[in-house]
Amino acid sequence: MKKVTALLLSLMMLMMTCAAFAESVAVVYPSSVDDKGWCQAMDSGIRTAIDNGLEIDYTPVENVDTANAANILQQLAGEYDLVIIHGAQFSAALSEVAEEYPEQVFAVGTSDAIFGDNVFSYMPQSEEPGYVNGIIAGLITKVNKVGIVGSTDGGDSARYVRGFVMGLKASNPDCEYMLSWTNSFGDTAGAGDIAQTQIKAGCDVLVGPAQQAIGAIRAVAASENVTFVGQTISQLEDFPEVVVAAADYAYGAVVSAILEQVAGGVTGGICIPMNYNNGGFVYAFSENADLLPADVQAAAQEALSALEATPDTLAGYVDVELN
Amino acid sequence: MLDFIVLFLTVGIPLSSALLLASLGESVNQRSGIFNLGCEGVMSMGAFVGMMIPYAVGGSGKVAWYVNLSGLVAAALAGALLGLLFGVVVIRFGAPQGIAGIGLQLFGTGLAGSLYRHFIGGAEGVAGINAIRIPLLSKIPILGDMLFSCNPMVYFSFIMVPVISLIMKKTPWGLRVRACGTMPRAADSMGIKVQRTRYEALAFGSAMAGLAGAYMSLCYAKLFTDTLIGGRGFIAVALVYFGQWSPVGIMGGALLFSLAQALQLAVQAYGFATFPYEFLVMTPYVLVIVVLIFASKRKHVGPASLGKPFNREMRV
Repeated sequence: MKKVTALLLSLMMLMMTCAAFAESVAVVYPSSVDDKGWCQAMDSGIRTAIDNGLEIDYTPVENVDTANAANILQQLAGEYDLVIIHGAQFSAALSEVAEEYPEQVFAVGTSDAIFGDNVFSYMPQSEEPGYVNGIIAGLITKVNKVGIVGSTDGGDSARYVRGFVMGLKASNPDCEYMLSWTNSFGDTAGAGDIAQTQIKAGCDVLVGPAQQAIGAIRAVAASENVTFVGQTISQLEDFPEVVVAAADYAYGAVVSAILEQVAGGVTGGICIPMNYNNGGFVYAFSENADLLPADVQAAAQEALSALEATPDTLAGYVDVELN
Repeated sequence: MLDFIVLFLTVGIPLSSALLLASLGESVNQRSGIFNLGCEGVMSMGAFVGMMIPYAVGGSGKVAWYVNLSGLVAAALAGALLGLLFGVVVIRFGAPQGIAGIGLQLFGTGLAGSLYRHFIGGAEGVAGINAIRIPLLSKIPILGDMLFSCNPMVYFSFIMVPVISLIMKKTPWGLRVRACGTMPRAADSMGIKVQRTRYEALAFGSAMAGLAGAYMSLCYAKLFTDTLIGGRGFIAVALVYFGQWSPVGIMGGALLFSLAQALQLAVQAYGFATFPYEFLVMTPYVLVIVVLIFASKRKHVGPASLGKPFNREMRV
């Protein structure tokens, strides 16, 4: 009996020790973690990092709207080592709650703003994947007309669109583009409306940031001879017949970087950039040569290699004037 | 310029179908004296159920036409059921119709989203019902693409305009519905079962809203999300006032709103605007408000007993 008791006590101590070492991380999402876009990219990035050895207890909190964000953050504060709120639209709510809970470490993205000593921000330099996608779009369009299904002209979405235009003009200076915005990140139907408009206007290659892009991809999939250059790899996996290539965020690296900072005694006040140079992005190509010819893939790979070698080479994106 | 005009008309007409179906249904509700502000929720449920049937059978792949048709029928039935549930609340229990309508909107939208996440999840879609090109007619320059290359549900929605008009003006049931919405006490004294007629009108009108939702998920976007309906249910209610309860007037309102929506899309696409795009996005909604302001000044031709519960035992 004593042996059994000792064994049970040892097991309990072992479990408590493990629990003490695993840091708890909650991530607040504006939509579901399987939205084939923005939230899925973060969720799968974290899960991949966990599979690769990142020791955290991860809790996703899905479908939080902007109005409820402050309330949700208040509920999570004090319960987790790190609370991440994944969306620039939540910045105001976070600023308010972070002041209220100075001991809680928060992170918010995407934003390059510095919010306070207990808040990290992370900012994908999305002009980089946008640029590579632009290179591809410029080379595969047969009618020299591509469509951009924009979400909101702010945050990393704005960077993505400007980077895309830079890439497009670099690979095909004669190519025109049509740009429309839904003024939302999650207006799936609106993205579909825009995509259908652009397709009917003659565009044969479409792109679009944010989780609403699924609406545009559906419209592309229902059309003939139109392709899409994706922003998350899940789009490439789910629509192999129309998505020619896709960039993706590698958010696991961001979470690891924040936890390392916390372990080193820094609890916030810095912005962590994400780019190809620091492993913040990944990229995948379609294996269908009819969709993506080898020479186009080679041109995109060349651009990727240059971005991996040197960060901040696309700083000129801020000067891009859109249609 | 011609390209631009053709583009916005080609995009605008399919956009109007969901609004048209939902508004026509709402007009039948209101003609019977029931103000159903929960149209948005009914459309959401219709969108979910309409997509669920083909998805359950064939996932995101193509399915037989009768499976898609089953989705449409199921969406109409789901809408009718929600309409009857609303009827129990406002007819049987006499709850205030505006408040109950908001409840129905929240209930329908929330239930559809929850069921979607439970049974499907993510951002899955269906092959759905595609546009059909009518032989010969679709080859007419400009008009062919605009009018004769649409989704079958687009044709159905426009056919329903004269059908609803005929039903409401020429059939005994339509006349009973109008009588219940105008003078329910007089209708009752003539032997018309007012409450039963209102239940029937609610079931019919809500079935139309369910179909409108299914059009969005099965024919237009070919997927379901919580935000798919995007306020169209509320716009549909406004269009009934805009159209002065006349199916033709409602069709005009639906087309006006959709063409305004398409215009802002086309203006953005061609880069014509020299002002912030946010103004363009809000244009159709501002237009509805402006039009309603003028519509409210016209002679009131709506049902006199709209929104008033009927109780034959109650003294007037």
